[in-house]
Amino acid sequence: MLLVAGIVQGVVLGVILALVTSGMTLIYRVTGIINFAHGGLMALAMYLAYDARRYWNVDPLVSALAIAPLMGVVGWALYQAVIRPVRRQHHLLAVQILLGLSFVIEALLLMRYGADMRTVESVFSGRFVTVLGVGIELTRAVAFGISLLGLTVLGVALKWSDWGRRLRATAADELAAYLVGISVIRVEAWAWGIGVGILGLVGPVLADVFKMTPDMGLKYAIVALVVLIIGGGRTMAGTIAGGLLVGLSETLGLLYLPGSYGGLMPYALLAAVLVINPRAAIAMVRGR
Amino acid sequence: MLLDVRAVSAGYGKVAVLHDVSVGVAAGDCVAILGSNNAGKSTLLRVISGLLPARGGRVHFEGEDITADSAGRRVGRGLVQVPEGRHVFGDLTVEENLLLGGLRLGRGKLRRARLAEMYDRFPLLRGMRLRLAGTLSGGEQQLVAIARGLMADPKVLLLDEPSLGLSPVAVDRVIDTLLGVRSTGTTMVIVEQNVQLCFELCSRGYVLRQGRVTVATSMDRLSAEELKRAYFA
Repeated sequence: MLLVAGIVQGVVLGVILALVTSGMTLIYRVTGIINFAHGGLMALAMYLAYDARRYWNVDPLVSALAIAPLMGVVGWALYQAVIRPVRRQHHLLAVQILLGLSFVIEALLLMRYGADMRTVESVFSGRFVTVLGVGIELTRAVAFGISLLGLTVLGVALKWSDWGRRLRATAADELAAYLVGISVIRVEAWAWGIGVGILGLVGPVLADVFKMTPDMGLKYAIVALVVLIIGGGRTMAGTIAGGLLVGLSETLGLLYLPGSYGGLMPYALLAAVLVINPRAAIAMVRGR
Repeated sequence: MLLDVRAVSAGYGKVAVLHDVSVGVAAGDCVAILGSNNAGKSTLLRVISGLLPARGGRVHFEGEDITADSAGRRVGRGLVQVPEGRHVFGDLTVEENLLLGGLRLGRGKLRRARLAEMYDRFPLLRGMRLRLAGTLSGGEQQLVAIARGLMADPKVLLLDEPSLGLSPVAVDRVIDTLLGVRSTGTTMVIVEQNVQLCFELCSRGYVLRQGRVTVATSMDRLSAEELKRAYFA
């Protein structure tokens, strides 16, 4: 029974992490850059939902509908203003800028909201559902459902639409993309817009699942990076597998290992992946 | 002239590669660009397709000045390049490669019809339509690259070293394919080391030496002496 509980919780967490990471994977595949501000931008989206609740009393599940496109514009603007000018430079330059941005977001959140841990309650807060005999917070189950939906929509769009083919073509071969008439810059801007826009959808939904603190950004950027590497960093299917592995290893680790060693399991898994397949890491360093 | 390159200069960084190169291509023509390595042949194609900006001179297409157009705009006009080294989208299926080649036809019936036409012309590709292009042999990839270029229904097809790195059998297949393309009236410009291929396909030839056109004549008047000088001088 304990095992079933661990697996259910792990799958739920894993799918949520997969959606969070899907944006990072998209950006990495199309533009060759690891978005180290990914967690910081998610924190920003969560605090926007917090403000929407505090000032207008809007449920985070509703405000997500406005915050998602807003974050999409943020991602697009971030690309145009900051990433595009350095896209021909060494990719570590962009990484440094994004890491810096992450710290800036953290400082701004700290100044505005203070260091207290916060949550944003939705209509589902404080309720539980039972899945396979395992009790789960309803907000978490809703986040799971939205993540599943988000991953499905993204996967279908990438696989079956011209929009998705343009993105995958640019990721596969930039020169050939130019030669079939794809506007590579526009495609890269799309990848940033959608990649960050996803955070605007998932952040508010998670605002009562993960506890918000201003310094959470870097932690989740690292978690997403771990999911991305374990998943191979190439495909959405890999990202989902990576999310599930990280979710399951953490939940099962916390259940079966003494103390809080279970929290280290995702990182142990990362180390194992890098020992078994160091090329995964080398591919990251080379970019694309 | 369908495609008119007028006194174009181009280069990379501080290196000037092309000096005052002029090339005219009439509709229905097949023009060969000949010359040794580093003569500037591929650079010339890159300037025509818009991958590299010209530093001097103009490029005219169907009477319009397209010197300032991006590569994407030129594809939209029907000026399509098949790049050296094939550059198929390796992670995508053969069919997805072809669909991307036909982006300028929109997503409707026109492109579907063109796709069906490509499968009729390349029956081999129909059997491979769901395979990832990266898993095909070099010769098969070259066919995918050519078919992808043809998907755009080009007015001029630019081919950069279509036989490079292929087995003799695969080269023959590429030649047959291009003979078929020529017979449908598609204008072609071919950059090629394989002189035999140029003689089989092309009516006119330009010889480049150190970034300048040294000979411009019909292929049957191109003497062995001039060719030898172009490649071994």
